[in-house]
Amino acid sequence: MLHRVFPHPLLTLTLVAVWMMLVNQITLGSLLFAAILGTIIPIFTAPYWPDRPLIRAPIGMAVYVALVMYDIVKSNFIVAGIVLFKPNSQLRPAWVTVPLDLIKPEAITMLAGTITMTPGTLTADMSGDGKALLIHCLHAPNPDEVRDEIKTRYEARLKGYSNDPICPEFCVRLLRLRAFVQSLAHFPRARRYHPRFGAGYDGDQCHRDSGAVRHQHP
Amino acid sequence: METFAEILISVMLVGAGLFGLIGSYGLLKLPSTMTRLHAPTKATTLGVGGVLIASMLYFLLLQGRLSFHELLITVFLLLTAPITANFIAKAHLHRYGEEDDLPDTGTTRDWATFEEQETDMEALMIRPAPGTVMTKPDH
Repeated sequence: MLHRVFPHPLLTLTLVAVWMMLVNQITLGSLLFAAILGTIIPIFTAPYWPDRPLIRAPIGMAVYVALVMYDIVKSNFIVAGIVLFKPNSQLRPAWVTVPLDLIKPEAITMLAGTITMTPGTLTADMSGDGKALLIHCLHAPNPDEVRDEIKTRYEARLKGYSNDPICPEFCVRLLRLRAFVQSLAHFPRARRYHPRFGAGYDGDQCHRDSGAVRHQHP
Repeated sequence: METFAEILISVMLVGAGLFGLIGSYGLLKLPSTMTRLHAPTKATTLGVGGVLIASMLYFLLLQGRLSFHELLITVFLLLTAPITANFIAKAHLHRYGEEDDLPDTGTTRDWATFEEQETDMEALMIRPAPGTVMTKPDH
């Protein structure tokens, strides 16, 4: 019953917090309205989120956010220092490949965002199968060091906090969501258009799922 | 007390302004598109963050009321800055694709920006000959 009223407790909490911040004052009226919004919106939008982001350790996540905040401030000073005091001729920009252990799209997104916001690194691309990230470093005399730091400092933590596949059913949903994210990765090229079958042709699904067979007319 | 608060807020504002200036200067100074991308995504974050903290301090210390919708701006900033940077980087790779400069993915597939759609379309779909009709099997 409680689950039916609040299908997504985390979304409810987020909506309440965001509404309170928008109103910018804590009164009973705005709190009540925030509660109404926080109840109604998750119920009506339920069909649109195929899978909820699972945060297995809220305290761990808070520690992670604090760590990232600290690193953002640090990175601001480092980048400012490079901009002001390092001549362009001494700059060593580099591309780095970071192989991913994370599977969940939400976790990968968080890692990519973290990398962009922290010292001298920037996420530029992902491999087609979602197993590696392409990082650009502003100044990296030793690119391997950068990769190792990202893996130990951020990815290991994210893995511990949010990325354990729990049950087979969960794994299946995860794979489906991942396929969806990968189709988004190909956004710039038209994928769902085929000269013969027209728009909406789905190369992956058409033959296999509908069980269609081709007959050659004589 | 009031003087102290004013000094604190002024320091935050001036510091934030400096970081914004350094970010803009970086945009001019750095040598290539990819390196130029670093300056605005980072140095500016602290610039805007400093202004927001100064705003919260001003309302809290001088006006005597709690103002916290600045936190919302921070959240939106932290959400959008990496995505903007990623889109600019991807657009840069598309336009001036220096595919040879990029390192290997280390997996079986190429970087998403450069991946040839034709290769996996071919594997999924054998082009039907002219006059081919698609039907469902009878059950």
